[in-house]
Amino acid sequence: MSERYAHPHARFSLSVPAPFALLEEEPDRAVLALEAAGDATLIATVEALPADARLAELADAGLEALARELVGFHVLDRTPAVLDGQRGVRTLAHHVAEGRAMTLEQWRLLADGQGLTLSGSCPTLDYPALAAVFDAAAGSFRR
Amino acid sequence: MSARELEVRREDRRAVGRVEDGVARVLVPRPLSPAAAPLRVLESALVAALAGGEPEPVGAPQPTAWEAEALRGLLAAGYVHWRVEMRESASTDGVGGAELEVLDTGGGLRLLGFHPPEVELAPASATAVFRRLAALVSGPKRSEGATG
Repeated sequence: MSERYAHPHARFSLSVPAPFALLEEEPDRAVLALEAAGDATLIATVEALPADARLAELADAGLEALARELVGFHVLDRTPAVLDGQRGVRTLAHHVAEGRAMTLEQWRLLADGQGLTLSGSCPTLDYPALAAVFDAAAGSFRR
Repeated sequence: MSARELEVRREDRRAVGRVEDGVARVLVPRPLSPAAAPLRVLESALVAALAGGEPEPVGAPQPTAWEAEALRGLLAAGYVHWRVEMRESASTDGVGGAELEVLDTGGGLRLLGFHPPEVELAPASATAVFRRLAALVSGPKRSEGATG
């Protein structure tokens, strides 16, 4: 079972997978967290970008920022992906937070001068069970 | 504290540690060729190819010319062979060991699946390999719903 979440200001919506619930809502992002444990999250973010922004640059900048912020950040995969019927990019990365191995899967899309990023994050030990949940959330993402 | 320990063998190097220690660093983004197809050969043919084509011991199944040629083509542009073995202490649920073996070739990653006397070299994305690696680490209970 899942419910449809629509951000009240930013133009996006997605299906909230059953174990996830809305945790935070800000003008440019929504944080959906696993109810049982807040260490698995789905975060959708919107950012305004210059008209000539490119998808590859959006992904590069995002990954470079994460590499600066996160311990042991390592990109495992980077592939084209379709998000909301448009060409996007999906990345998979690994890092360590408070001594725990964490996995971060992200989908990025560029549309109408906005950069849209959907990030699924969880302890690596939980990733095998949550990978399909993240995939489904990305598949349900709409603008 | 996890009772699970990983042993990583990459070429002639060996390391033991937890997944937090950076085991995932054996993976980097790799292209997945849409034209790549699974390759199934005798294990002895793969062993011979990885050993540089040295002859098999007398009595072992001999690879066909087709198998030898297919493996030569796959490995021609260079490769890295790595294997991750998960070991679990006897004090836990007794799942025992499990392993993941991969060939990182010029044409992309190949997951090795053993079906004696054959081995299948299946094309796989880095994501698929990582999902297998994470499942290996997390064990069967936490991997329910895992996808590849």
